[in-house]
Amino acid sequence: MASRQPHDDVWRTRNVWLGPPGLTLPFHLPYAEYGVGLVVSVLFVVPTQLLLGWKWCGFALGAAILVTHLLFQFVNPDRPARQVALTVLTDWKRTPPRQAGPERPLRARVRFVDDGAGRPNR
Amino acid sequence: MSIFTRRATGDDLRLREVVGHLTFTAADVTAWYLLPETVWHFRPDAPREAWLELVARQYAGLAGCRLHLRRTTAPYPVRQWATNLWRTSVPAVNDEQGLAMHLRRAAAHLEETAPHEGFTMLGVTIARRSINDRIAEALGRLLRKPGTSRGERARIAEKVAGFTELLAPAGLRARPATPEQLAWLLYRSIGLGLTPPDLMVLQPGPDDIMALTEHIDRERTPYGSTVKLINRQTGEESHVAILTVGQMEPQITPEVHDPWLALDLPFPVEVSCRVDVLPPDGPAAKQLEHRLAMITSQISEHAEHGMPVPPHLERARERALEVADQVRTGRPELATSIHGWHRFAIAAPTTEGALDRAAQLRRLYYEHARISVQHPKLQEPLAREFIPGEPIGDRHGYVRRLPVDLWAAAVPTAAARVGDHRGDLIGFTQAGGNRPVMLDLHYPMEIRQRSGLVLMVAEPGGGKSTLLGSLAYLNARRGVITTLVDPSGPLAKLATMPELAPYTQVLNLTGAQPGTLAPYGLVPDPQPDPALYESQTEYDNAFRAALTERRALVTDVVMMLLPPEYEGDKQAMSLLREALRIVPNRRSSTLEQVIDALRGLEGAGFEGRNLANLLADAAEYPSAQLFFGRPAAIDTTATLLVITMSGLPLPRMNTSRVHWSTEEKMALPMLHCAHRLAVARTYRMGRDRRKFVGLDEAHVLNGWSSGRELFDRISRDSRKWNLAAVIASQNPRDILGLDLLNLVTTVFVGRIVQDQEIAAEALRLLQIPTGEGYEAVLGALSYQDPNDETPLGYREFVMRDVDGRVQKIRIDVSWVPGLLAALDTNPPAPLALASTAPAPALFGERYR
Repeated sequence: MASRQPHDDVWRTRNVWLGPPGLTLPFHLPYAEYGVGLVVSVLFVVPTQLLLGWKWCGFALGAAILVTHLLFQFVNPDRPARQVALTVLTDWKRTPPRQAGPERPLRARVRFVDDGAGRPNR
Repeated sequence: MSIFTRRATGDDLRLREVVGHLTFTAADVTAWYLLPETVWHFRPDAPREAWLELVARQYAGLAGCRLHLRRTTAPYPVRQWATNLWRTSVPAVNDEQGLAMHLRRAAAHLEETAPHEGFTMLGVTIARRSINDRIAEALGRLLRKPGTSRGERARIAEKVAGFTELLAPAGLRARPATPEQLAWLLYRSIGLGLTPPDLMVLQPGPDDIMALTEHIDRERTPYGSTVKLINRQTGEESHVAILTVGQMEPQITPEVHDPWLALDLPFPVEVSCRVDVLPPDGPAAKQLEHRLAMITSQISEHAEHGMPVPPHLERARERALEVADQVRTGRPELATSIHGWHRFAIAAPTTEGALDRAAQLRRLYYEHARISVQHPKLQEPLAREFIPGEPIGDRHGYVRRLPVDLWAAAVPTAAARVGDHRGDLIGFTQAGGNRPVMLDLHYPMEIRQRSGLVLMVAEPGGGKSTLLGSLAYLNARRGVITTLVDPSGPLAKLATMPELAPYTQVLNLTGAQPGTLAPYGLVPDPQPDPALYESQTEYDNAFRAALTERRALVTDVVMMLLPPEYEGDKQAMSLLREALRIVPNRRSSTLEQVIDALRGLEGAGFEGRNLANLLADAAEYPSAQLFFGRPAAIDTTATLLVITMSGLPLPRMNTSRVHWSTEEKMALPMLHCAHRLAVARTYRMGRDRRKFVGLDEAHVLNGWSSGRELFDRISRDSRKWNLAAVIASQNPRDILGLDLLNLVTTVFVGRIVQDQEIAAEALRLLQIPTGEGYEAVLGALSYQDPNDETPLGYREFVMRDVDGRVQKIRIDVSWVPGLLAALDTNPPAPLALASTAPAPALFGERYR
């Protein structure tokens, strides 16, 4: 019996950072989490420092770590960090119900062209 | 419109132009093909494996292309079906309204099930449009000549032709899509789940279909689980949930798993797959190298830190090496990779309904295919992904990386369809979403140029009489000249149905006039009709064949009337043949002349006289009078004639004739001749008029040369005389003994549970391989729970149609008032058993 196996299992491994040479960290986080954490930290700490001063930067850093940790609860091999972030940033939009009034014509129509093969295009 | 909102209607499609089967966006050109349905179920594993390999090769030939596979549904054209059925019917005199009501009832019953039929299209993105092409198009718009230039189309024509040639042969058998099909696909993609109007009868053009998309709006909510689509014209709402294929376990197709994009689901589902076909020496190999390096690096890091390497990393490395080896050195159908996204769209009138169906689909996929189907966010972009030309809604998540043979094993075109879709509605399939089953018994002759012989086999209680009676009713109702041979007699109740009574006659042979079954009169002489015989020689041959057939029938009938000790007696046979040479071989001859010829045979002496006397003795039995005397023509033009032998026991074919009673001995030639009588009647009804003959207990014809010749005649004449014949029996082994497989075009097999050998014989009738587990399917047909005393209200069959499709079906003629009651052959349950009152008469007062 032929068993057909997907290749996905090769892509399902998590690359975790165990720590610097000679020092094994007690927690093993993916490399991506450190990268995202750095970006989020910059996004939180810099505005905090500019607006509120250094006193509050510690809280901002803590918040950044928390946000990164929460973000990575949703991250898995099928949902990489990039996808989770894009979902958070773009899926909040909503469509309002259509207003009553004259209907808008289509901005772009699909043209059906006779290809000369005798097929009936109307 | 604020930044918090986004209009999401069909009015900003990227698709610009459709030319033939090509679609143009600003960026690329896609060639669309229709993939016809694939006969998948009940087929042997070997040809299915070979087919998968063929399809994998075809997909491997598309290396470097992006594919968009769309499986969508169209509403079943119920009205068109009913209209066509009306056109092929011949209403009885003054019964047009009755027939119209009958067909409207069938259409209404069909519409209640919301039937749909699926079709699959494959888009191959063959070229990116160059900057010059886009500039030319923009200039054309300025000059009021919008659209792609002829030069651009000419440049890609050769490439398109190459892909068409690759996909057309056996395997995918893809055909270039028509503009109407593309317009329909666009409508179904923009209006996911919305009920389209029944346009099929009007044969709309693509612009008409596209105009329907202008009335469709979409609404999304923040981080919603569904998208709402609204048809502004009708006010209909469709709530659509988009799911995506997640982690997949290995698929063992076809031996264990069904095709993973054609799972049997109880509701219609739209499928959209956007995949890239990666050649072995391209990005796939590089990506694999990168992954292997990462895995190796992780293993090294664990070693450096003195930590045990997790087993999954070792397995991942082995697997990466294996896949890399496959990609670099394997055959094209293994080395090519398919990377992409596979989505399902499930619609319902409410959000809760859509979520419920989504949960159902996820459960079914996990249970039956071990595939994890996920319900992500970003529902609106994912819904737009279904529309040809629109971008991929979410490029980063749920990417599936498959070898091309696993992609081929998806088989989205696997269909549960069976039947001709133009005849009477007889039931529904039990797989593939309850698709309607129509059967036109004259379809094999009128369209497929094949014989109209149908086999029907089931154990007692398996529903054979119900199905045969239903077919007789439905055909007679539409004016088909129908003759039924029902020895036991219950189908005679069809004559009591008010709509059939004026056009039905019942002929009970046990009370018929002498000569009704005179064998000489049962084989008609061929008529010298130039439409039937192209030359005098052909006519002469047919006439001589009729003479031979008549003599064989008379021989067999005489041997059946003689005591069973004479079966196989060479001397008796020799004397009989000699006598038959003396009797004129024409329709007006009689068995009395055979008796006289036997007595007068020179040199026969005692044996000849003995045979004559034995035959004369048989003639004294009351029911034997049917065979003697001048052949009596049945003078009836009734649309439905039911021939019965009620009161006469059927012969036990599994015991020797020596042990039969006299009545059983008489029943055998009566059955033979009754079958002949039914067929002979059809020759008086006009050549082109549709005719149907139903022969029950046909297994009695096994072992007699005239029996075999009857089926040869039916098969030979079914096309010339537009005659459909259903041969029914309880025992497939006896039917197989008639060696009819080459002549039969349609087969029904009902419940067979008693004997595995008989089940295997039945599978041979269906041309399904034995020993692959299908015997259990026959045993499970019409299954009734032993703890349930309610009579089973339906019957199931495995049906093979004229085109070789095999499916399990459930007979459903409940839409015909009174038909099931008329066909009920079960004895009535005693009323007392239904009563829960105490029975003091039995046990005395103390038990009240």
